[in-house]
Amino acid sequence: MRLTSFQDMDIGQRGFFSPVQIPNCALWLDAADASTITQVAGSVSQWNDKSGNVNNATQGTGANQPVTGSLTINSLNAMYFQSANSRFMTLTSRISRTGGYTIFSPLTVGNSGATTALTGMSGSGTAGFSLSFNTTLNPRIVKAGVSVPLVGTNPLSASTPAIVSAITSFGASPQNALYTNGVANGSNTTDPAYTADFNSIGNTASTQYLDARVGEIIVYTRILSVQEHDLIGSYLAAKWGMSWTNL
Amino acid sequence: MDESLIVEFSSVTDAQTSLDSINAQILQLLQGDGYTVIDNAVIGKNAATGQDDPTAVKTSTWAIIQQSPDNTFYFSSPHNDLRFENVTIINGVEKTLLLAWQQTDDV
Repeated sequence: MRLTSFQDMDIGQRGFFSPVQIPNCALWLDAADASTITQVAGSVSQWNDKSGNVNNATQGTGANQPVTGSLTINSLNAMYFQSANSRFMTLTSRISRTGGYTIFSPLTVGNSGATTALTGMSGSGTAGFSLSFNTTLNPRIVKAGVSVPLVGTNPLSASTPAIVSAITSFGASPQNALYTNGVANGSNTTDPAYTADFNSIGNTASTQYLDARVGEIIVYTRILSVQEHDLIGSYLAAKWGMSWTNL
Repeated sequence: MDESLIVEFSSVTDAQTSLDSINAQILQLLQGDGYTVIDNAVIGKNAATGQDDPTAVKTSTWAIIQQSPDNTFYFSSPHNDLRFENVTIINGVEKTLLLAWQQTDDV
């Protein structure tokens, strides 16, 4: 059955819908699902991908591990990335840029005073997609280490949960757009001209360490339709106790 | 930004000796808390079941040694973590990480 609205999902489908029902789900990290988390006294060494691609996020260095079981978003467990302690994770595989990306994350950002990245490049990598936040907490679509194709018009509020989503593609028909709880937050057709695939969560190129409570990270390797985008947004809003305005 | 404690050393040898000592102390503490240690790495537990997850990535060190712009060497202090506040640090000097040492690229 093809789901065309959150209402379709809700009628008779409750408990069965998951983001993987929409094709091309490349990554699904869910902090509310404790069964996907491997931890040592709250410090997380592995956060398993629920997309079916086994693209797990890992961190084997204790001081750099994000924290689970201590902070929440609207009563659900959140993964805590603390910029001061350089907490981040690396994905098992890079996520292909070829078809573009649609990314969602319910999260609460902190005010670290620095630019911070939700996704990016591991090691010294550059030129892949990074979703980051500038010093005033405006979300941004970034070609890591190279350029900033789009800065969101409106900043997030520190300590206020929000669903951030973005679309970005390059090449023949480039497009970039940012949304906060479904509300448009800037768009353009600047070509990011990505030349690499991203593979880091919580930083980029060993810098811009994230300061946030992260509920989920869901990535598709294509630009979702408006209906699909709203479906995931509504799903996340219902789950995390947030609002979502259809695109 | 929250402040982070680091331990600074004049040589990478001193830093490695100190880190080895810290790793040994942390492994002992975690073993005492019921964690399994194999080949000097900690086996994590599934957050839902509390069972060992030997297939997941293991925690193999407390920190990674980095070189500072002042040509000293440092790593994150175990005292940033309340679980390890009583870990003894040898050789180095504990101090607050300078903002200037952190890479803060904007792009």
